[in-house]
Amino acid sequence: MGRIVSFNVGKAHAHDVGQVASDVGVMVRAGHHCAQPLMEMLGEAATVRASFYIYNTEEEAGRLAKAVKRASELLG
Amino acid sequence: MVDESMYRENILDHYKRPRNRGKLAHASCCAEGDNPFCGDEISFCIKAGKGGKLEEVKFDGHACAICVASASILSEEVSGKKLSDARACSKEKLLSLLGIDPDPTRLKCALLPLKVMKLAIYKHLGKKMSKEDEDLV
Repeated sequence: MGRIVSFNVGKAHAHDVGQVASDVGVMVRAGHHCAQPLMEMLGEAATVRASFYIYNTEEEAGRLAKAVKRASELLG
Repeated sequence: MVDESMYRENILDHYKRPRNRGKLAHASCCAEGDNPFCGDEISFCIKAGKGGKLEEVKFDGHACAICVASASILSEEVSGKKLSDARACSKEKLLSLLGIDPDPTRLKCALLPLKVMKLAIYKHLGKKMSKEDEDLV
């Protein structure tokens, strides 16, 4: 089963969080996700979006968690 | 191992304590630009002084760390310079001040402030932006 989650990390811009995730080999999407009206309604410039599927491992999820923590320390 | 090369000390310093950020009272000209792919939005206002110099420059907007740091560093670099020299600032010069070598996507974040700052100067001078500057982002 797949799961998808959109989030932000403190005040960090979604692209910065995406960059930090990318640096540990985790690919996420960052931006409007073709949903600008929703972003405006939420008052967010952009969000990070991660999706998990059957081929993802727990180790990879752990790497994403570490990247989020790192982004929070660096930029949040 | 996290590669923090993009978020080195000077970038984070300018991101967390941006120089020349805010509104500019009695601006000679303002310009704005955005990067729809990532949501960066930046505006630049300039105040032209005596002798064709850039007396003051301020930027504002919502943007990622690379874009904010770039705008902050650029504003420091061009303040007090001649309008013509500020307009001639090259992307290579800005990237060397930033000290990073971004991938093509993040390059747009880094160069958006340069294009918007130049646009404000072009508008003030009543001139059309050059093709080279148009293609910055």
